[in-house]
Amino acid sequence: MDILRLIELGLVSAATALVGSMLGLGGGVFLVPILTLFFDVNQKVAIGASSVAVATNSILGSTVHLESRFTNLRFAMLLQIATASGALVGATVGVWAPERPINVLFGLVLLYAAGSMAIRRKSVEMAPDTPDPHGIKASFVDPATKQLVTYVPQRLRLGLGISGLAGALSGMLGVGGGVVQVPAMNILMKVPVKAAAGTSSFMVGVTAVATSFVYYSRERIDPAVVVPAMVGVFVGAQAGSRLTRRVSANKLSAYFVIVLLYLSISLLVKAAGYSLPGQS
Amino acid sequence: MSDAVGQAPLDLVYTRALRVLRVGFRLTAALLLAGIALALARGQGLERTVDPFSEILPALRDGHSRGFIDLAILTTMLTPLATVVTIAVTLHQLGERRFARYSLAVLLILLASIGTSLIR
Repeated sequence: MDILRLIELGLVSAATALVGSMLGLGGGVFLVPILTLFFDVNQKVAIGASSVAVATNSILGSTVHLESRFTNLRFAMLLQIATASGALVGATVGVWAPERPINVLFGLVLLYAAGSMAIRRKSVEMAPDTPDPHGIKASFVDPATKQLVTYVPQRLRLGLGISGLAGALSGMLGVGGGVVQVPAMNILMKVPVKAAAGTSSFMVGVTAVATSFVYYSRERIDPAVVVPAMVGVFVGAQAGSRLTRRVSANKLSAYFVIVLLYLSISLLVKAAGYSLPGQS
Repeated sequence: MSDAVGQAPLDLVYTRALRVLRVGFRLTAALLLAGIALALARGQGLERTVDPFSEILPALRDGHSRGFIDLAILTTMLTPLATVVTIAVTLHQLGERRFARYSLAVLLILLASIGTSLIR
C-alpha cells in the first residue's frame, strides 16, 4: 500500500475520531462507512480496523472520565456481561455474514444515530432516598456546576437487554456501541449524561476486545488499515477534546445529522446493488 | 469527594484502572512508533494481516517492523482486558465480592473471544 493512501487513511481516521469525540458518538460510526464507500476497503477489514480504533479511542478517552469519576465502574461491570456477550455473538455472526445485510443494518443504525442526536439529552434529578437494591449508586462532581450529582441507574433488566443489543451491533458493525447505550442509559435508565458518556466510553473498549479478537482469528485485522487508523485516533481524539471547549456541540450536531443521513442512504443504496456518485 | 456515596474505598479501583490504561497507552505508542520508524528506515511495507501469536516474537527478534506493529495492535486489544483483570482483583481485595464476580464473568467472555483467535 503506498504512502499517500496511508496518509489519506490516517487523516480520515483523525477526522472521524475528532468529530466522534466532540459529538460523543465514537468514530466507528463514521469510519466504517467511509472506508468501505470511498476507499474500497473490504467490509470485514474495515470493521476489524474500526474495532481496534475503538479500543484505542476508549483507552484515551476513558482515562479522562475515570479521573473525573464520571465512569460508574460497578454499573459498567454489570452491564458489560451483557455487552461483551453480545459482542462475541455479534462478531462471530458478522465476520461470516454477507456484506449486503450488514450494509442494511449499518444504514439503519446510522439513521437511528441521526435521530438520537436530534433528541435533547435529559437532565436527571433523583430523590436522595432512591433505593439502590443492586449497589450501583454513584456520584461525581459536575465541573460545570461544582455540585455533587448522585444517581441510581433504574430499569436494570431493560438496560441489560439494550447492552446486549449494543454489544451485538458493536460486534457486527465495528462501532463502539455508545450510539445505542448512551441515549438508553440517559433516557431510560435515568443516568446523567456525563455519567452515561463516561461509563460508555470505558465499556466500548472492553467490548472492542471481544470483537477484535474474532476478526483477528479470521485474518481481518489489516495493519495497512489499522496502523493509520490508530495514529489518526491518537491525533484526532486529542484535538477533539481541546476543540470541544471552543466549539458548540449543538451546532456541530446539526451538520453531522446530515452527514449521518448521507452515509445511511449510501449504505442502503449499496445494499440494493448501486452506488452514489464518487463511491465504490 | 469523601461525602460521595461509597466512593472513598472505590478510589483504589479507579486509581489502579487508570494506571493500567496509561501504561497500555504508552506501551502501544512506543511499539507503534518503533514499528513505523523501522519500516521507514528499512523500506519495509506494512503487512496485510497480523501474524499468529507464535510468529510475533521471532519477528521481534529479527528486528522486523511487523513484529513491533503486530505487538502494538495486540497491546491495544489487550489493554482493556488487563484493566478488567485489575478491576476484578481490586474489587475482590476491597470485599466487593459480587462485583468482583461480575468482572470475572466479563473476563471469561473476553478470554473466550481470545480463544477463537488461537484457532487460526
